[in-house]
Amino acid sequence: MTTAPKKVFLVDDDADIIAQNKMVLEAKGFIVEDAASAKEAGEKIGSFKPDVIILDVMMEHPRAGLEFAGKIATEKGMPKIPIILLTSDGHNPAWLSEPNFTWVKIAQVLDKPVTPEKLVDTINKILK
Amino acid sequence: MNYLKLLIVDDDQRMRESCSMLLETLKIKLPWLEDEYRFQITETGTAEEAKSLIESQKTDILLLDQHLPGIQGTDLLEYISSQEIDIQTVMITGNATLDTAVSAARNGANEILAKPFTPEELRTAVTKAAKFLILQRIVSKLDEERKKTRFEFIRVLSHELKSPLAAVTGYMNIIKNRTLGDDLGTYIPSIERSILRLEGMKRLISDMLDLTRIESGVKVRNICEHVISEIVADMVEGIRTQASERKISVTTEIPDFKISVDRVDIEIILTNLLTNAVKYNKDGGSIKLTAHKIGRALKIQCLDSGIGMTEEEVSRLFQEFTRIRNEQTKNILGNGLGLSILKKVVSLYDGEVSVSSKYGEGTEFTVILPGIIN
Repeated sequence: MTTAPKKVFLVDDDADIIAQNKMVLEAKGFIVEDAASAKEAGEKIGSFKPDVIILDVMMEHPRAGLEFAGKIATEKGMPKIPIILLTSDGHNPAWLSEPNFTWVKIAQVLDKPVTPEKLVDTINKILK
Repeated sequence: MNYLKLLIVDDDQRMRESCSMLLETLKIKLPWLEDEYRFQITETGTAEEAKSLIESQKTDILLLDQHLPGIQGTDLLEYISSQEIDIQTVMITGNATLDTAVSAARNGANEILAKPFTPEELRTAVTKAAKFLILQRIVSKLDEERKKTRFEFIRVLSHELKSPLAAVTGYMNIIKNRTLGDDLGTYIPSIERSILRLEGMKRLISDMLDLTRIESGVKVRNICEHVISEIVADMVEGIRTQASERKISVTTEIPDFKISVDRVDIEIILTNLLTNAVKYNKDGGSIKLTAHKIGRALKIQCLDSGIGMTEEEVSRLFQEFTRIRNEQTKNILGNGLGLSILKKVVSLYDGEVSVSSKYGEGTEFTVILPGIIN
């Protein structure tokens, strides 16, 4: 029995990070959609209905990604989708313990740059 | 109104009461501070009680008699300095010999008041101590803010330096893993993007150096007379290729006149205006650069038919590392320092820079440099 391909939503304001993660994930058979800001992500998430989100933190403002993750975790009617944070601040995610963000549900934090193997592995483990 | 907590320690009750009466109405005002300060006064007759009051009520200023029953005033001073308590002390001494003054000062008294003293002498001594305390607290607050700003700057800077590294490493991994198959040709765009990001990183480092050099005042300026139209022609030539690749027309309207400037400064201003006008333009758009004399001032205007900005975006424009990020700018590379540098250079000439923009229609920057035309 074949299963339907999984959908990954890439949210990052760096066009190159989007481009290369798209190459890696499409080569592995995922369906990929992208957004360059938390605002754009909010507009697209409803129609795309992703299985997992790869989310940058510093976008239109330094906490834009976290706020988007918080919205998903708390807002009524928002689909509950696992989030992988992909950030160059990943080695020191001190902000995750800040009182404002303790309610953010993050499946995993990955440090930028991430190798293709690690990215695909992490997504597969979370979607299992 | 702000209050400072003042504690009077003297075994003579009448002395305490008269000091308290004299200081109750005293107001402290610093010339450049809007706020006025007054005193909340507490009294005690012993150093023992003073010690516990200092600990419990966070005293700001201590008016302390040297001779007390039990623990002496100087012993209390010693205790305060050993505990590093943030307090200003005015020491009242019975006899104004040099020895007592030196010993009180050595133990941390900020002002010495010898008995008998006039009401004016008391007010002066307490005012001096209060002003010192207020200034000291302002300085330490500014120092904290400076540290925070510096940390924030370095945090954002390291993010901006890590981003191109992450992008290039990502492409290298794709090439190493042959993600797109064995045909090397398919990796050319990844290599081109990597080169572009590395060039951007190099530019960020030079921009950072420019910015800090201007701020530190280390940059030696070499003011000479130049013909403005010649500098503009050189700068326009520099972006011609970039502009023609996207079919953007560049026109100039510059009468021949001379300006007294450091050529590098004018080049920084013009390059920033022109490269932004190209980067944030639409394909097939236009740029018009004009320069005119207004009295002894030079007015430069750069108008583009680009993507424009919203009012909110314009308000953030001149902050360091600010880049306008939206659907239309996501593929435009930049480090968000260009306009900060431009603004700093313009300020070296006591000039002004302003911007007017209409979202979707275009942007016009105006730079005015006063006093550079003879």
